[in-house]
Amino acid sequence: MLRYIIKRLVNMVPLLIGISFVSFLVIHLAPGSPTSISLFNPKISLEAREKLNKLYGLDKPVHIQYFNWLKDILKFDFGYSLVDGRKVSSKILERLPVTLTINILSLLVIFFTAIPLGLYSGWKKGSFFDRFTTLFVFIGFATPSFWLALLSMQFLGVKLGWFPISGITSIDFEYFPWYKKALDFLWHISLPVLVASFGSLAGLSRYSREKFLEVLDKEYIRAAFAKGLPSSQIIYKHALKPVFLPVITILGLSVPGLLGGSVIFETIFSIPGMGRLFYEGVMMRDYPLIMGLLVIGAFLTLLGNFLADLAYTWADPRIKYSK
Amino acid sequence: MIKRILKNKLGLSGLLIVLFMSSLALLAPFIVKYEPISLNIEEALLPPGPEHLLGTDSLGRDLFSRIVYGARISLSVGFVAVGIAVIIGIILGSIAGFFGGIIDAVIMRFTDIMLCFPSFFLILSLVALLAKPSIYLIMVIIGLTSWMGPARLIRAEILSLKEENFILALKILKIPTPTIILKHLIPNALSPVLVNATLGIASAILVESSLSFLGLGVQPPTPSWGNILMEAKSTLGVAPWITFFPGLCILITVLGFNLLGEAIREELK
Repeated sequence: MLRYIIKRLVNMVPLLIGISFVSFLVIHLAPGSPTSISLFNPKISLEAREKLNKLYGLDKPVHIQYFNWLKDILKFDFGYSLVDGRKVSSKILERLPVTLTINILSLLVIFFTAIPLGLYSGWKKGSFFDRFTTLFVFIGFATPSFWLALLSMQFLGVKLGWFPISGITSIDFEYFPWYKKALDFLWHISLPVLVASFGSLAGLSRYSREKFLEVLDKEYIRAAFAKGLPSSQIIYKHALKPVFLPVITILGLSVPGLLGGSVIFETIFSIPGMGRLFYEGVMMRDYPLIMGLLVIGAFLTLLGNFLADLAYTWADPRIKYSK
Repeated sequence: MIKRILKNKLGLSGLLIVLFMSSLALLAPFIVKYEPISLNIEEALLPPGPEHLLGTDSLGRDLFSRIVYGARISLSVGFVAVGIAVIIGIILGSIAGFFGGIIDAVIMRFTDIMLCFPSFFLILSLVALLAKPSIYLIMVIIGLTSWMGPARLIRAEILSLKEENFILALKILKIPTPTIILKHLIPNALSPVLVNATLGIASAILVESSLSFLGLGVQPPTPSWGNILMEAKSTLGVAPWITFFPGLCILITVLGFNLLGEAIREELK
């Protein structure tokens, strides 16, 4: 197992280098240099601009800039933000926990609602429930998340007043005891979690329904039914595991989608997370920040796949580590 | 195949939705009563009624006209972006699949790397950094960031096809390689891409509307479903219909393409 993990980690190295290269390239394809935009005083002298260029290493040839940057990010140093001069790494680190919490909660919500929904509608294939969930699944797939966010803000937030519609804490948060702090935080992020999980929920329940039907059609399951085993025993003991395994992989693969979605719902609900930071960075053309976030986003995606693979190999002993 | 899709209830409704939305987009000037960008402050924020079918927005523009014209933007972005993605995918996928070896390894590693990025992150940075957002730029950028699926599918198909006897026969007959690839391999490898492309149009429409919603896509006053929603944000409390209808249109259109794509997938099985 350990050897397998090491092997997987080693395989990730060329991917990580590629990721850094593409992130760097994307930013440097952009016309106009960061020191030329109106963010800085338009009256700024040419001399001062050259000084700035020198400060950020923008006067060096591109490949040197890349290697310098690569050396720095290996030390988790993404340079300094062009907007407020703070370290990019600390800006990202302080925003990361909120985004991760919301996304992990969404994954849990997806996991615990989508699978039962999919399994049940597969079990009752062709019933009213099944047709209803199929329709729901297709609609869920097609719902634009920002629209859902606006509607839920208006109806659950403003009209009914059940949930707060922006930020992650109440004004008097500071004075709450710890349990009330936790509840307050959860209460604030319930709408974002709802919005974030809605789209993927549909996909996963459809997927687990399909997988379940496939498994039910397998000979060993049919044999178990023919033998007269009680159906609950067949399902819990034999049919569920082959459904859960691929679902783990799908959950791992949904990381990039969730991160991309964070940009949208964090902007709408004014949540100070990574997605909003990214949006602000893009609007301000904060090159070091964008590069840093692209790399971290891709790294989290790789990590998601890696963890999913680990869980998969751990759960299914048939998979050879040597592969 | 088309006949059987028509028999599939979900597939048929998907096809009807797609046809309906396409005809709205094509016939837009003949359908609407008002110009989508003509202002009339006296008629601002009217609820849906006989005069303005879906009401008016905060500048008194007819929402129905704006939505019908928005269909043009959404559908053309969907089709063109996916067209670009499929073309890139076909080129890279068929080269990788046919030549194999180091070429294949390089192309496929590059594909893996591109798949690591949260695509919305990549699209946002490109849109914001390359230039002022224009509808053409958005088509190209969505295309440039979504060719990985088609490339993988084409490569897989070609890998299995190139061992088939009819391809071997063509090789023995000394048919030039480009002819084999273009005339015999690619046409036979296209069917799984068809499903991917249909579903891809749906997601391109979602991406364009999200971008426009964030103010990084199609710029006002040109109406797009996304930017109508962006403008509707400020009047959500007083005029919920301005938020409701464009979103519903996105939902229905995306739903149509998804249903159609699923039906084609079922047929290809």
